[in-house]
Amino acid sequence: MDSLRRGRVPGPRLANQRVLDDTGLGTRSVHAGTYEDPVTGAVGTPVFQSSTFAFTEDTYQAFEQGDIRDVPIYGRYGSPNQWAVQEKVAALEGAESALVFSSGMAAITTTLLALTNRGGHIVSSRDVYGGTFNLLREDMHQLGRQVSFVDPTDAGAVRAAVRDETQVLFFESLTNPLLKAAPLAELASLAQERHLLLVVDNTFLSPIFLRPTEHGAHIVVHSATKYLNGHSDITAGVASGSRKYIDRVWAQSLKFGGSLDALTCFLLERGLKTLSLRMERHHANAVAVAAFLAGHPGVRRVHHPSRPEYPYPWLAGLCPDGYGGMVSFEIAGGNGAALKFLDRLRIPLVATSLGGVESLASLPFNTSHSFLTDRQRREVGIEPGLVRLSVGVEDADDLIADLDQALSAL
Amino acid sequence: MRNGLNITGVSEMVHELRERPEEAVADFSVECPAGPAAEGAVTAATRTARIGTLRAARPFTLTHRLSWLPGAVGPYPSPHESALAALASCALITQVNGVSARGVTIGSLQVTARAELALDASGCPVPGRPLENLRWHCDLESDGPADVVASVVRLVTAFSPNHRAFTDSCPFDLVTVNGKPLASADAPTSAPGAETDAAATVEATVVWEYGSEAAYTTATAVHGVRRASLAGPTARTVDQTKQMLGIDKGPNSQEILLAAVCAELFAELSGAMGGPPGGPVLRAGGRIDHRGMMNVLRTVPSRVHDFSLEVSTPDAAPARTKDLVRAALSRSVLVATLAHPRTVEVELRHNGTPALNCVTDTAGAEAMRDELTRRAAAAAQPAAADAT
Repeated sequence: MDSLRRGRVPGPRLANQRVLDDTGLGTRSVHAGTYEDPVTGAVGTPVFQSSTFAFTEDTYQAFEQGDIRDVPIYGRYGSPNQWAVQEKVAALEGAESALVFSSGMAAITTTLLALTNRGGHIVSSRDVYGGTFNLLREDMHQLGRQVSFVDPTDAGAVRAAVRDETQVLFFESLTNPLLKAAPLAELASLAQERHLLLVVDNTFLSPIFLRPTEHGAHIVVHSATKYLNGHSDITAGVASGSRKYIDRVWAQSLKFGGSLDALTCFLLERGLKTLSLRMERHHANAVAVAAFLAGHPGVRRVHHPSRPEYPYPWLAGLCPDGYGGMVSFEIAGGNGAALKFLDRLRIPLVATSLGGVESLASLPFNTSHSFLTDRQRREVGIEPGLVRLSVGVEDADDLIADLDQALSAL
Repeated sequence: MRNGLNITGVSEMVHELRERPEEAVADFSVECPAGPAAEGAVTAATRTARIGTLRAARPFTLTHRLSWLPGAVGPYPSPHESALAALASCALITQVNGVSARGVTIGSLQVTARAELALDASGCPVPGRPLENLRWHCDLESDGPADVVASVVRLVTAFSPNHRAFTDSCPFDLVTVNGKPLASADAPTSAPGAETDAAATVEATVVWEYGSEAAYTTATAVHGVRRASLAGPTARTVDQTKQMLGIDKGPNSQEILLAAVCAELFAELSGAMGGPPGGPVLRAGGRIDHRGMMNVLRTVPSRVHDFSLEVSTPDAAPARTKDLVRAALSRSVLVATLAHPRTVEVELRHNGTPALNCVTDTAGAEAMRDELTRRAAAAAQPAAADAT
């Protein structure tokens, strides 16, 4: 048994893919993972719009040995376009391997079930994205996993919730919509000490501002629909981490489905090429918008890491270069005034989702957190009048002028 | 995939162990009693395992009858039957791994383990007398050459963790009673046992399903009358954790062995102390180390080892409890069976033809590991010379 030859390798990768691990994030955004077509010399990855791939000796060998993740076989198993974009995400996250999914929820569901056993326990938070919370609250117990919900910013509370059968700590690096920052270093330390896996949803920060694996996270998930793609034109998810764990997630994904088709992979890869540029602009705009809102009499409170009253000082150490484009704020007149405010906006569109080039606004009380009771919303800090603003890459002056007119008319 | 096993996964695991030895160790444990059980039976629960640097939840229960007599309460196996199921299933799964790595496709595979349980004049098991005449018989149908298959079965006798637990000396390394270690001077020794001609034949048969999954049945024969404890729909499943390339379908063979030992000790202790509330709670643990099982590191044992036992008896007087635990340990057939080296006879029938018949023991297994280590070192030498 000692003579078995294959160890784990990063990837999967095709021979013609660009591998760039020692470059800046902007360079990785543009080049990492690109499939260099030897026939045409295309500078971008072609779309391999094929659900199945002709068998070779390598295919049969892979079936026999079990390494079918590394050979083009079938779209659900993996495809050149998946591998191209996965390599780019892995390079950006500083991970060995990545896996794309048809949505962020597919990524989260598959990851959590792959990394836990029946009878296992997950520690998470009520602050997580609503879809995630519903999965954790409504479905996990039916699948034999228990979940405890704690304050994601309180490492002591997380520690206290760990039980003998706990296997995973699942938190968002920056929560939705209040931008609470998880104490990542402490959570990673706890995970290592107690033999747990730390899974981090890094959707709000993107790898441009935070790479959780550098701080001890084992797996990073994203709704790639948001900043990674950045154009509000696809739905996708991704998980990245060591090859060991992503292989396990991949094996689970084969059974759950949720694979990403070639064209969507192509669009995600194209979107990622500008990730670094976009994130810088999102951040700059968000800081300017947060400053404006903080000075407006119609706004009761602003939730943004750039504000001096922001209560999670460790985030600045984790993310020295920025915090992304999300800003939340409470309108003084409550939910009624907030609804009127949305009606008056001219530039931001009133829609769910976030992370696109266009600014989007929504109210958590009647959208992402409508499944919570008033009491539960208050417990997590969602006060009446809270607006979630995904600040796009428009001109900041235009955004501020529009916000000003909408607020001033209330 | 061959025989439902991911060969690449095994290979990657071997490489990982060389680079990250902390991932090699897996600790399993069970607790008994755990939850309600029928009168005359006790349920053990598997506890969260530690596999390498991570935990694996283990939600399984294993109910045993407290009486050794078949049919006393059921359909539950006796601890002795379960111990043989643990021996047979571990040998079977190790064999599946071995033949799969050599390109052999299995048609069917079944392992039956048997042993004699000595009975005293009153017809009860002789306290502290080990199971005798331990043997297992393997029926394999495959496309592999008989010599390859036979060589794999020989390797199984050196690398199956439970087989080695039966051939080697494998006592409890640590016994604690209400948190305090039972001093080594207090450690049980096998009672010599009365001479007796009477014996029951205990057996367990494990049938391979797919990958690391198999189903086991058990029986005990007394005075030539064989009665099944687990059969047909009551057959139990054994499997590996998904972290160890199984599918979590059932407890693994180490957990079955620990549960069997716990159940037998519980029967002894609860008989002496009375049942709950205040009755004994036992936790037994054991360790496997993949570096030994895969011969990556010669100094590491390939058997399940580091056996530990924690006994809690909150309502009993400390001194009396210690005496009762000591007595239970010395009366246990399974503790006696594991505590001292013994031989296990192994037979292989391949495609209907006898292919191997040997008596295995610690010395033979260790010699095999030495030879494999020597060959691996010799094979590595030219490569090292090339590298320089």
